[in-house]
Amino acid sequence: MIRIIPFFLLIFFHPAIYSTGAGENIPDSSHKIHPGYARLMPKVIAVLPMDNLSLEPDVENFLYDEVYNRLLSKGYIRISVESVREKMERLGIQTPGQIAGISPQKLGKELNCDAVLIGQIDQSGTIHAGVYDAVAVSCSLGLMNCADGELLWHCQQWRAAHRQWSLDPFNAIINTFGHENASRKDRVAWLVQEMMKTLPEGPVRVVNDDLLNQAVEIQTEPAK
Amino acid sequence: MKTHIRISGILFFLIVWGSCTYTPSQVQYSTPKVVTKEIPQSLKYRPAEKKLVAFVGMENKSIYAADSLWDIASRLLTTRLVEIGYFSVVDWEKMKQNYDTVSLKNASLVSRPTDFVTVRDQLTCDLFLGGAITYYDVSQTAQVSAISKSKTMTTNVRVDLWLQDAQNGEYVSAASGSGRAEQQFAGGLLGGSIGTWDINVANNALHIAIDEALVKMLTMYKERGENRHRADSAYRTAPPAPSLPGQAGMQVSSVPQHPAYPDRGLPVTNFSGFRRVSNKWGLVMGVSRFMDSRVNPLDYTAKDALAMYQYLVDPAYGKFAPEQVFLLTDDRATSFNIKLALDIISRHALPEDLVVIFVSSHGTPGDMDVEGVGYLVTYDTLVDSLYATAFNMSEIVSAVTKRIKAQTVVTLADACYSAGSFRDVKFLTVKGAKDLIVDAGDSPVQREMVKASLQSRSFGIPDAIVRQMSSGSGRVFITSSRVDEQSWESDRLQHGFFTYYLLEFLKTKGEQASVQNSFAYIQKKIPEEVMKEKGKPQHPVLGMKDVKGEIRLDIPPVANP
Repeated sequence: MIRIIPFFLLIFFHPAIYSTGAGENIPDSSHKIHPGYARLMPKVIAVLPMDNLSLEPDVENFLYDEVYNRLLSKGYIRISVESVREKMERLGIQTPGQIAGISPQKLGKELNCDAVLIGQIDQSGTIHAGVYDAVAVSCSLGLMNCADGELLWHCQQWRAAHRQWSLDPFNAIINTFGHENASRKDRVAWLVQEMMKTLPEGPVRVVNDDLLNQAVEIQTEPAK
Repeated sequence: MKTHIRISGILFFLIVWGSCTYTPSQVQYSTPKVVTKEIPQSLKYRPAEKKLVAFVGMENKSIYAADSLWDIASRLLTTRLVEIGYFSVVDWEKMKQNYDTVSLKNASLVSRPTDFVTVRDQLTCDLFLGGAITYYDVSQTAQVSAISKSKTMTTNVRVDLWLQDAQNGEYVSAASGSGRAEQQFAGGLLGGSIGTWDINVANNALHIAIDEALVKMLTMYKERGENRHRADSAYRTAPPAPSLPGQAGMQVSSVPQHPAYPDRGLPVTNFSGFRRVSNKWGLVMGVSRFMDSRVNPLDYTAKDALAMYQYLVDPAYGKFAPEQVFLLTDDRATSFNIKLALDIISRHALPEDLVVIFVSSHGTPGDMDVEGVGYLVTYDTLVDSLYATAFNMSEIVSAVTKRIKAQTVVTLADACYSAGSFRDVKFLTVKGAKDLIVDAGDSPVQREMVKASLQSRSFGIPDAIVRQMSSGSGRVFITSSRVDEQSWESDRLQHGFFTYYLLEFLKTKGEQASVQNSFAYIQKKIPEEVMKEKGKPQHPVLGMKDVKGEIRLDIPPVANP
């Protein structure tokens, strides 16, 4: 009997060894910048509603807020959230997936911007593999030139957090439920911070460090 | 033994626990699904000589302003039409190559009489088919629990289609269809799928809606018979001659035949050869009976129109040349004929001319329309597609304020919306529809919504029309009632109150009978008489701007040199 125990233990540990590897084989980060970015660099950017492919509600709003808040410090002028919301309503966008049906030129004209920042939560969920548990969040962002629809910048980030190993099955169950309630906002914020590092600096220079009062927002043309 | 059982139990638990492995759910991508629908038996019989149909475009009137939605829908529709095989169809790609994309996108390729004739002659087609995506709604629901999560995305689409006779412009059939497509994503301890709204899935809803509308439209067309409008001579019979009280001796044996009328409607081929003979123009339109049996008939609207026509052409009163007064009653009062008459007046009326437009029919409420102007129900209006087959009041507004160059244009409108205009038809404006009226279905909740919606609506000509129609110099617009009132007919007078008292004043006051004085008279008289007879309020409304002096309809005409 004792001889076969290692065999069962191997079965017990194998999924964890295998799964941790599988989950983290995905590169943590990848980004791409258009070769002509310096020439095509936009000045005014509209952050469009973010899509959410996962089954966890509201994570896309964390992504949106983080991107919107961090964009200014990168030297870009942004269109106000209210204006974007109003234009989306006018275009009949009821879910972010529908934005793909509107041409970049039309978006640029409606929003009065040079480029639109699109993004999505690719994945938000938990990983469980035997003795291993984690929260996995991945998202991607893209900056699209309104004039020609070219993708100027694209970045993807993947992160497993709250990694925990537990031999005790009961503790593992507690971990599993704990992960369900773990904050995705912090994870998303970290991912956005990492992704925004790869976005080239914009043309707007902040001359003092009073960032709080430097908030630059523009409204698009009033609705006719 | 017990020890062995315990160890075995623990090992078994470890195996099970170790096997419970899951990673976040995988993204589910869809591929375009082929929606195959059976062609109904009734449409499997195909005529030996198929009529040629030209599809003239699909307007996107839904809230979703997607760029290529109209083209996707057009391709789906023409493909399905070919599959059904009841008609021969002009290739859609050829249509796109040969005609202006904007016109196809707005389904307005044949909306102007001149274009109508040109396109018909170029394609030698028998029928024009057009349509609109009138509703496009995407909704999402989600459920989250400790062990599972799910979300459902639902796309609902509605499509309206209309079929128009390429010879006389009459709408011969119309229908609407609805389609629904769902995407479900779910995940739990055993994995699942994730994803987002997918245009390919949504297109299935579009496909289903188009198929339903096409089948309904073709069935209606078939049932009515391809030659219905030619064979139905009953509609050609003139209404009984009207007589205004005090004019008892005046009897007219039939509806005066307009010199330009061939047999039915206006000549759609020779309007360019029309010659101006004097400086006074009239368009008189009144509809009592309607092609669609679901539109409630009116008692005296055609009679009112005929009385107005007789006043205008009478040498003792209006002194208009009969050649320049277009009388459109009942089956002649089609949307196309109204457009045609307005087009003729727009082309030939000179700046020094006087134009009188009189309309009397049902209307639809302005708050159902994006521009707030509503529709006028014409003879060939089909309630399944009001947008396509009713006459958009904004077209009259556009003609009066922009296209007609005449110095003075007087428009008299005796039309009001009433909840009783249509039988067994429920309408509602809903989320996902920008400006159209949607059949709300039969559930008790929807019936209540419709009732509340109808009760809250205004009845009269919307203020937006009064403002717009009288916005230009020399433009006068008189409507029979206020926006929150109905216009009434009288069995005692055998006319509508509005027309009766207006003509009474114009005929009896001689040189005092200016438009302004007429309004002062009916403004006082109509409320009193309607309140006395019907116990309801009705107050005519006048819109007028930059009018110099008194406008007289009975001024002697100046012949065209």
